[in-house]
Parts: sequence; structure tokens; C-alpha cells
Amino acid sequence: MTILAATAFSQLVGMIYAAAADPQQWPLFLNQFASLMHSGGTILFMHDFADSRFVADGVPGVVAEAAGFEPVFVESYATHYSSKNVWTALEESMLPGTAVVSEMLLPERELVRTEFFADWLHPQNLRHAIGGVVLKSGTQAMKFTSLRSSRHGAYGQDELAFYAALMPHLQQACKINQQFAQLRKINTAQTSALDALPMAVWLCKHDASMLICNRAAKAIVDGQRGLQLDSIGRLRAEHIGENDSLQSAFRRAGSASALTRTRLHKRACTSDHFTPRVGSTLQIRRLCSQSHLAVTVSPLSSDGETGGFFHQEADIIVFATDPDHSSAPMEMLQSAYGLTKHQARLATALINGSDLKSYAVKHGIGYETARTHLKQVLSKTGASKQSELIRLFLYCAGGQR
Amino acid sequence: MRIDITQFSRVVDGIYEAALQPTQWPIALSGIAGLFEVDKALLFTAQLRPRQGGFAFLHGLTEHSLQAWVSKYIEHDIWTRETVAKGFMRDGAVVLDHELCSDEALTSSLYYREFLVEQDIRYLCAGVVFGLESAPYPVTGLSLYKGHGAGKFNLQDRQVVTLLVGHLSRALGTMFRLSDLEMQVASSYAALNLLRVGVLLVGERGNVVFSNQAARKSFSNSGVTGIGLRAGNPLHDGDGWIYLRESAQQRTLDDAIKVAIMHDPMAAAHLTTGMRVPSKTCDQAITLQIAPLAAQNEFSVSNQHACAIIFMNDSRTRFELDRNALRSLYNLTDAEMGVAHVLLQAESLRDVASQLGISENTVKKHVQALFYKTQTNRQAELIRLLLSLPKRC
Repeated sequence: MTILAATAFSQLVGMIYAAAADPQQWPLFLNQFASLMHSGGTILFMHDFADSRFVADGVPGVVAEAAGFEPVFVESYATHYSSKNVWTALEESMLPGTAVVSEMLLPERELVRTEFFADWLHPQNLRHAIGGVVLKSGTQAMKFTSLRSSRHGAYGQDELAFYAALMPHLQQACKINQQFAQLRKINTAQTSALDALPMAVWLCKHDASMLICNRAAKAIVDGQRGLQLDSIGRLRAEHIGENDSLQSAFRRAGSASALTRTRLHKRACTSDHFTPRVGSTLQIRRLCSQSHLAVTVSPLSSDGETGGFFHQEADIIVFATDPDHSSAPMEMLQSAYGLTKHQARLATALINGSDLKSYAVKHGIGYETARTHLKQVLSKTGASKQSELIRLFLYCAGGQR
Repeated sequence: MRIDITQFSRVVDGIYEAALQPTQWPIALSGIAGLFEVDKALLFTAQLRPRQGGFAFLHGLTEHSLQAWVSKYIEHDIWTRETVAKGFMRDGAVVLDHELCSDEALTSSLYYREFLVEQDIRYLCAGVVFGLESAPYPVTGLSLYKGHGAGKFNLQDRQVVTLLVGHLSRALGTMFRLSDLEMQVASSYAALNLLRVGVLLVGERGNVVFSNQAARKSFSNSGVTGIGLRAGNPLHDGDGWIYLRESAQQRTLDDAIKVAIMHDPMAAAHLTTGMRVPSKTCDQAITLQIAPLAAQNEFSVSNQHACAIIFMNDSRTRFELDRNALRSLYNLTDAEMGVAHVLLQAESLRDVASQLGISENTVKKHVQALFYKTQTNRQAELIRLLLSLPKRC
């Protein structure tokens, strides 16, 4: 191959991998491939050999992308002609990674007699195909096919070789694509769990700069409720004196030895001297309220397999509870545990530290009535004492914030 | 001139394989070296040592020689100096030795006489994968070296290296992004495991797609707790389905999950359902709170995304306070910590007194001291503070 051809090949391969990380880029590759091959339509899709079905909603990370087809033909293929495709039926036994041209599967004179040709290929002025199975999992397969008219003739040996050379890259790209999809899926799920927590959570690097935070944490920073981010994204307390203790808590929790913990050079650091890392709990005063933020700064131990490059790894975790924003709204207690309005009001008062006697006085009810309410609250929630009630409702606000 | 496309393609494949499996970089590098028939090659972050989070992959070079370069010869390195001076330190640039300095200038330099000769290095073809202005990525270079006996690098070598540098840049970028995502996943997982409360995420078919450590602990003892997991197909169903011993309770739970899945929490914030699952043996219980989960804004690629969240409180779990943290931060005495600990489980101060075998007045004194030291005013506040602490600090 000449250097010019190699450059074209290399660019095409580059497009495959660009799409691996960002599936929106598949059309770029498909269009480029089609123009190099003088193809009409080019498609990357999932096919199920069990029922000859076009798989529209595949496993995570699998794409269905087409270039050069009128959308109506992709639609009619997906709904009907997938099962009439005389070529795919013959490809079932092919090993993933094998490339074929349509004439190897079925002689042209037989093709033209089929319904698939008459009703789907012919109206699009298509007659020849090049394709193969990229990956296979059970009966489902990832297929990459390109089609062209009789004017451009059958795909030749050179073109088959070119297509075959792309195959390992398509396979590799699908693996990368699936890895991204898998990680994104887990990340999305875990992020939503963190977002549902009533307490604020920040994950920081060893130098206190924030990598990840949940919704409650963002609310504290945005609402200027005691903690803020400085110009380079480090977590700090708004009160200068408080910030000193927060920063020293960060220093105790993160350690200098964390500098060397990366995935590739894990072994190199085991000989380094080890400084024990300790967590701290602080009360952070703030301007917006009389109450204090209860903040915990803890070292985050990673399993060593997932350390990022260039220090993009979380080293310290910060939890914060804002007493002004942590009790469950009364209507939620009512719906979650079937409490009446009175019972919910009593529960809220107890959670906030009131005792039964002063509650009764404040609301002008008898002590015995209050006691009855309490018994009902405890029996409906299954809590046996005030501390359990608090423990229960610490998380009741979840999901809604 | 022609190049072997099969071999080129295999080398490129190796580069992206390494993006998925970073341990494969040495193999990818030796593939590159093989393509040019050179016996020495280097792929490294020029300004960032491995200790600082960078990397250096060597082919045919020793760790020792790299150390010598770092500690001594870096300031004499005429090639690197000229690469920067002549403006080649930009993404995708490829440069040959004679474009950097004349043969005379090289062979008369201390760098050549003391360092390069020692390694039998005479010719260079260097590609800049990430240049000086490609933050957040650090300056990264690919260097291919030939000895005296071998011929110079030619124009085709340069063109092929240019192609490879493009692939290296994309592959390393992919690797960094995957590594970032892995880091995020690992850290939020660690954060969820630090919680005292059990957290379950439920997918649209009611299957559990995530459970944290505390939740798994309660499930592991299903004989006593009466709550467990019924496994499905791990590929499609995640952890499976929540199983309750009592069929009436199972129906309540299934209904609550159904309601939570169907509703958008923004529209119906009140749809949290609470239920109590009594344990078989005693009055202890697990409390479940089932709530809808806001859909993530980001495009979801799978049908397994979480639609509802369940918080799981296991009343059997005793709270172990982190005594060291409490001592160092609030300056609590052992007696005060003892009172705090019992207070979390007890009904009243009298109860605390009898459990600890001390007088109620003493308990009151300790509680006052606890209020003072933790800057709380009420028992409920103190308990809330203690309960909010993660499992370990």
C-alpha cells in the first residue's frame, strides 16, 4: 500500500475510534467509508439470527447507525425486510471478523429473483454488498454492511481486503464503546443514589480540590451555607478561623504518600514511608444561620486498581449535615407512614428535640392525648424510641432534594 | 515506497488495545518499534515523572538510563532544547534529528559524547503526542532511536510516525477519559459504602440495580431479617429482586415500588412509602423507605437505569462510634463517650443510668458536658449529630 493509501486508511481507522468514545461520530466514519467505496448505503446495526430481527434497542453501547439511506428504507428494513434479507441468512455460520462480498453468498442471478431484491434493493438502485459480522453474542450480532449500485459493479478483492483490515478496529471500537457505556451506566446509578441522600457529600483530591459532589452539597455551596469553593475548586469554609481547621483536617485525611498512588506505578510506592491518615469531625459556623454545619472529613481508601492518571483521583471524602435542612417535611411523614396530621406534627417536634410535656403545653392538648399520639407514631413507624425515630427520618427526605 | 498495511494496522490495533488495558502499553510500544525496525523507543510524559502521575514506557532502553537523563543529562539534552526552541512542541508535530541540529553540533555536544554514545543512539525521530498547549494532558512524546550502524530516518518514516502520533493521541485521550470515569465510579461507590444506611437502586422492572455494603449486610442474614434477594439473570437483572418472607408484605413492597417507578418525583414528591419488616425472632425490624428517583438528565444508553431508591434501616445494627475521632475533635472523655453510645439505644436518661450502673444525676452531668462540647442544645440534636457521622472517620 502506498503512503497515500495508508494515510486514508489511517484516517478511517481514526474515525472508528473517535466514534468508540463518542457514538455520535459514527456517521462521519460511515460517510467516509461510503465515499471511499463508492457505496450508496452503509450501515452498522444489530441483527438477531434467531428470528432474523433488526435489533432496535440493543445491549448497552451498541449502535445502529446508517449513512446514505433514505430513512424510509431503514424503517422498512427494520420492520419488514430484515427477515427477507437473503444475505444475512447465509452469514449465520460466519465467524466474527470475517469479511464477504454478496457474490460469495449468493450468485447475482439468484439474488435478482428474490423479494428482498425486488422490493427493497431495486427501488434504491442497489445490487452489490460488502459486509460481515463484527461481533457476536449468542444469536445477536453486530453487522457492518455497505451497498452499491450495478453501475459501480461488484466489490473487488482490493476492496474486500480494505474492509477486512478495518474489521479488527471495529471490534476493538465496540469493546471500548461497551466499556464506556458500562461505566456510564454504573456512574449514573451511583450518582443518583448520592443525590438522593439528605447529607452533603464531596469527593476531593488530596489537595482539597473537589472532583465530585452530590445535590445536597451543591445546595450548600450555592446557597452560601457555610462551605464554598475557591477559585481553583478547593473546598473551604467561609469563616477564616473555621477554614484553618477544615484545611488541617484535609491535611490529616489526605496524605503525601497519596501522590504516588496511580494505577501504573502502584508497586513503586509501596516502599514509600507510610503516614497514617485520620478523619476529623468539625462544627462549621456560618453567617446564614445560628446552627452549625456538622462536617466529617475522612480518607477515602481506593482499592488501588482504579487510580486515575495525573492525580484525578478522589482521596478524601467530606460529609456535611445541615441541621436547618435535614428534617423530613411533615407531609412526607404523613404519606410514608400513614400518619395523621397531628401525629406527623408530634413526630417532627420530637425529631427536632422537643419533649412530650412541652409539646402538649405548646399545642394546648392534654399530656395523655400527646402520649396516645406518640404511641401511634411509634407503632406506625416501628420505632421504639426517639433516637430510632431520628435515625429513621434522617433519610426520609431522600429522593426529593 | 510501500508500507505493509497489515503490520501497520496491527500496530494501531495494539495502541487502542492499550487504551483499554494500560498494562499493554509496553507491547504497543514494541509493536511501534518493530514497524520501523528500531531497537530503542520511548513513550513518556516529558515533564511529569511516574511518581507524579505521569508515565514512561521504554523499549530497548534501561530504567537506569532514563534516571541518568532525568537527574543529569536533561539540561544538556540538545534535542529536547531545540524541539522547544524551534517551536516543534505542538500536538502532532514530528521531527527528525537533523532538523533540530547539525551533525557536528550533535556529535560535539556533551549530551552525545557522554550519554547518547553510551546508549548507541545516533538518530532520532520524535513525535509530539501532546504539546505544550494541550492541557489538561501533560506533554507527551514518542521517540524512536537508531544507532550508528543503522541508516537515518527518512521521509516515509516521518509520515508514518505522524499517522501513529494521531492514534496515540486519540488512544491516550480515550484512556484518560475511561480512567476518569473509573475513578468517579470507584469513589462514589466508596462513598455509598461508608453510609450506615442501606441504599438500593431499583430499575424500571423493579429489579435491584445497585446495593451498597450496608444493604448487602442486611440481605446476607435473610434467615433472621426476613428480607433477601431473589437472583435473576445477572446480565439483565442486576442484583435481582427483593424478597420478603411475608407474602402480604411482599405485595405492599411491590406496590410501593411500582408507584415509585411510575412517578416523576418532581410531580409527586409525596409518594414516599415507608414500611416495616419485622424480624422473625424478636421485636427488631428493618424499615424500608421507597421513593421515586429523579431521572438523570444525561442520555441513558441502557434500559437498566435506576427509577427508584430504597433506604433500608436495620435496627439490629448497633452504632459503633468512632471513639478516636470523638476524643480528638470534641475532647470527649471515656465516660462521656460511654453515655453518648448508650444514649443512642436507650429510652430515657434513667435507662442510660441503669444500663451503665451510675446515678441519673451523673448521666445528666455527662449529657450537659456532651451538649457543651459538641455545641448542641438538645438531646435530639446530639443524637442527630452522632448518627450523621459516617461509619468510620
